[in-house]
Amino acid sequence: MEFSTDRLAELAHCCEEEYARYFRDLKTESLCCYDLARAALQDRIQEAETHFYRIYAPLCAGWVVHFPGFEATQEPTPDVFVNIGFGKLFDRLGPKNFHQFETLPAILAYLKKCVITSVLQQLRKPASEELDENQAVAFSANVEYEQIWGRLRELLPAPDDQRLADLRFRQDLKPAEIARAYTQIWPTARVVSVALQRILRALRKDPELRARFGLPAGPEGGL
Amino acid sequence: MTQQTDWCTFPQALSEDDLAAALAGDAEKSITAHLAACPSCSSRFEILRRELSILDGGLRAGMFRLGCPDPEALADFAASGLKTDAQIGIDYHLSTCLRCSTEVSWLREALAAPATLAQPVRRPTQAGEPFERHLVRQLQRIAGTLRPVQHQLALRGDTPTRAFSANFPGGQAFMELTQRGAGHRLTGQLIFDADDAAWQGAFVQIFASGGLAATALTDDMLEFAGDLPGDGSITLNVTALDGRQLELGVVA
Repeated sequence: MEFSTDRLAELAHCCEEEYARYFRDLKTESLCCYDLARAALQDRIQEAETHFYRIYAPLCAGWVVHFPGFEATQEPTPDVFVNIGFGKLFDRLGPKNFHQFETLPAILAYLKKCVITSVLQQLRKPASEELDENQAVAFSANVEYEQIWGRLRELLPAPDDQRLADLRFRQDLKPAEIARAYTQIWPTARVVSVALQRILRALRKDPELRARFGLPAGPEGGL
Repeated sequence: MTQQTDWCTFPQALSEDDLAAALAGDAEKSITAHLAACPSCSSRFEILRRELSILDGGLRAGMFRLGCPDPEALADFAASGLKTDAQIGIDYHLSTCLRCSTEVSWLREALAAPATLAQPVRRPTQAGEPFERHLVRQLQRIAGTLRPVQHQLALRGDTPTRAFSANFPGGQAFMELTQRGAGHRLTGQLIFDADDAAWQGAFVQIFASGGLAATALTDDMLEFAGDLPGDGSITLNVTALDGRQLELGVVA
């Protein structure tokens, strides 16, 4: 389908009116918006992509700020997640698969998935206070993770110790959170902290872990 | 920093259990008094405290969320009632992973809701944000200025294409502006010192005279393009797939 700049501007204007009506009456048809989406995603017309982004970015921002994980990212605005989400949409939804999205709500549902999973992706990064220490040696791949996790299992044979190591190191949960979730094993945060200290003391004696985290060979201080 | 002395000044040095009890705040008064008076045991106490802290912080940073399903796999799991092999694996993972379980509940709620949320009000930066976190967020934003790389020759009139370049921490940017009708065609390329897949498919916003003029994605060569109406100041904002952002101002 051929679109002139003027035709795209008309389509975008019509879509904006539909967009406004959509929030008053959810049954409103969105033919212009769907045509604009087709021009952007199927026909790959850059002007249409820009109009589509401009019209729907505020909606995406709304999804982000209402998503419970957003607060935890500590990002002051939702913009970065909106942009990542649109990047994914434009990259993945194109001429080859546009026909699988027969309605505007189907396209928006996919866009929503792209946007909110970008929030979760941000939460997969370790907390910054750990990153600025030289001790933080991020394991680069799952293979390396399996190696280190295998080593921890050898050093901590008790199932509860393995679970605590997983909760603390892999899930980065605070003692109070662990105690809340596993009250029968660790009734209080204090009990968690004591168990965690015992685990760390056991791990501290392992030459492999000491080398990995830059500790001198053999526990210092004659311990 | 405490200097370790060779010998405990008491008849018997404190054991590791004693030191651990002191670390946990459970030590008897005699242990506390020993630590206060004995430089050797006090030094060993400090070493124990520091090494446990290094191990705890290092393991948390190194292992964080490794083995967790990709967020999009969690979203598919949350949205689907189907039980494929992959989803059975996720089901099992959720039985032990509190973080993924929480995320699935968030996703179920978000994906079930119709797309009818009103426009948000942008929040200011959180006043209570720790300085280190604020610093890391700022470090995720790279800034640069694109400057002309060739002088225009006045006798030859306007050159049809103007070139710009910028150096920024970790890379360079190049841009060309070519007259096209009343506006310009902008083409650009990013080059990073180290290979970084997160910038492929990055989302580019091209602002002209303060307004959004075009959006684009970077391709495999990190190239992008867009059409600008008329003249005016130009700013580029590039968002990588991992959330890092590059902001480039253009000096005309």
